[in-house]
Amino acid sequence: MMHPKTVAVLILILLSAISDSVAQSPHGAWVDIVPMTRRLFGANDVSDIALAVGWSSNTTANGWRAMVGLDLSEETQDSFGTTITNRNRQTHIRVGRRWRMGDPAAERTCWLNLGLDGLHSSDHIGSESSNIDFSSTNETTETRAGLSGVMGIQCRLSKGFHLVTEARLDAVYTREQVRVFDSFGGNFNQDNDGWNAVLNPPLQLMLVLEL
Amino acid sequence: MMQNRLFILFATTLVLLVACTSEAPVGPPQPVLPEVTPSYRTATAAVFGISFPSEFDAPYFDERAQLGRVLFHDRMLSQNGAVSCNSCHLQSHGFAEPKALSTGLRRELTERNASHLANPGSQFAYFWDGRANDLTTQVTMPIENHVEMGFRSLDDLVLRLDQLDYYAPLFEAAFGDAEPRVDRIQEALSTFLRSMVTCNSKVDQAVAPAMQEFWNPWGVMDGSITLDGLNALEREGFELFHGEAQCANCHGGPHFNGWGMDFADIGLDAEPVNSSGTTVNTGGGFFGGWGPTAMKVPSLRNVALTAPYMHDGRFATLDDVLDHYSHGIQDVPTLDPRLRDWGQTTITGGPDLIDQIFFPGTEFNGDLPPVRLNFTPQERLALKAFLNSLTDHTFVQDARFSNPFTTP
Repeated sequence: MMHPKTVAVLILILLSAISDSVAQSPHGAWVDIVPMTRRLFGANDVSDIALAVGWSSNTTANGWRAMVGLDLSEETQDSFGTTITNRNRQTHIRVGRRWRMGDPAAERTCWLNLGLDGLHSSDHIGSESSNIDFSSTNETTETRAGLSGVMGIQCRLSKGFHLVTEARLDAVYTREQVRVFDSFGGNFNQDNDGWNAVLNPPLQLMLVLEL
Repeated sequence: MMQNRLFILFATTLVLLVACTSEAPVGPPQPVLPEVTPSYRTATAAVFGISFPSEFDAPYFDERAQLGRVLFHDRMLSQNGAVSCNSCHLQSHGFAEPKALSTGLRRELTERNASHLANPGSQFAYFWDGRANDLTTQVTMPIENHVEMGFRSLDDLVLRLDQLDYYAPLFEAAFGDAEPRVDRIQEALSTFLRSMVTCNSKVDQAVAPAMQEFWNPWGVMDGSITLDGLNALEREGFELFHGEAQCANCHGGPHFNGWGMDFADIGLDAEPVNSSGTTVNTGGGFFGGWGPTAMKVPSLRNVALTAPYMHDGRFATLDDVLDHYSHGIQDVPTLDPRLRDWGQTTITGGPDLIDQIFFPGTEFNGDLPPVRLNFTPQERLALKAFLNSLTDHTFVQDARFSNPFTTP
């Protein structure tokens, strides 16, 4: 159940985004091309589904941006009679404002963007195993919510096509839940809560298409 | 009539299909052990300074080592039954793993390359960052690690071992009591590791007759000790290793590991940061480490089997390693002073020199460039021949250290 204040803030952001999108153009669709290129080049640790897509109210000037990322994988292995299933689920949502540095009207190839995002992310890694004598569960879920300062570089490849990469400093409230138990009676539960600051290097490379 | 025949044919096929596809349910694998516990003491170990407790001091030594062998290879020591110690420490690879980083119980990657195991009982620091200096407590640290084996509480491991029926007789034999306890698990595993003695390589056989008193490679250099059994190239490599190539400055001692207590930043990266890019504390260790970027100097025993090399497994071959020491050492302030070119200074000793050794990174030290040994093709061949002659083939085939379970 979301707190009413959180709902109000989200509605405010949504309304602002809609009003911006109506007032300005061009809009942009974003897609992170790193997972796709990794898959093309055959990276062996690539997830089953790795996708980050987004939308912006204005690709060449100040505007609102939203980004949703999914990273899902599931693998089942038979380890000599023990069936082990590992599941990883990562979801990330970022909504925020971007300000273009410099003169928006100038026909530059590359420019800097500064931004501020609200973010929510959840990382879950879990393992379940079983054989006729034994079963176990081992799960870690880390949920983060907070604000993020962003500095990005945007380059225009050609009309309607841009590349963006961003470094981010997240200030987040993190909740980590660990649940470990097995049928032999092993049982471990741990919750850790606290504030964290995380510097994210520019590991995403996003292709932006003007709509 | 025809319909009846078709029905019988269909029913027979169905029965055969079911019979072929149904599998007997399988439980956790069981260990298969010799009827008489073998001796886990290695007679020639004393020559290389490895001692075992006497029969009087440790009457259950062999039984504890045998229990440790089962624990070491048992996948049930990981929380979900996916991995054992043996999963990352493979006997055929000198108890290393031929991967840069290993995968743990949930297929997550470990932060560092799995160290190989060569005479662990004669070392004084464990893990690449030397954060453990007692083998008895070190052995359960990977079991508790959330990436490696995933037991958040060793009490849960005790609960589990208590219910696996093959452990009761093993604990009874090893401790006179069938009850598993954390300290007994640690004792058994560390006893097994202490029993893993590797000192039967070509070099060991050549050196052993002359090593009754103390480790004396200089005897080889001055000609008073001959290395019978090594060919000319291997002998040349031995002399290079202990002389001009300066390898023994760090990898000295009878186990080629700096006497098991040395750490060094070998200039792998141009930036003086933790090379693995993690936030793991790199301090600690027997001497408190040589700095936040220093890693443990590993033993070179069985080195030909333990690729890839370095703490992050960045070098796939011995040639890559030789390339690094030949011309690839990066000039970082934290570089170990032994890897600087001391030939470019007039200082040959005294307090100033001692300061540089104990406080690397000072201004004076930084003036000296990294050493460039620029090995010739012949020197590389000789060094590789010597490193290959450090392989103890009996160790990697020794049944006492092998997997006792019916399945890997």
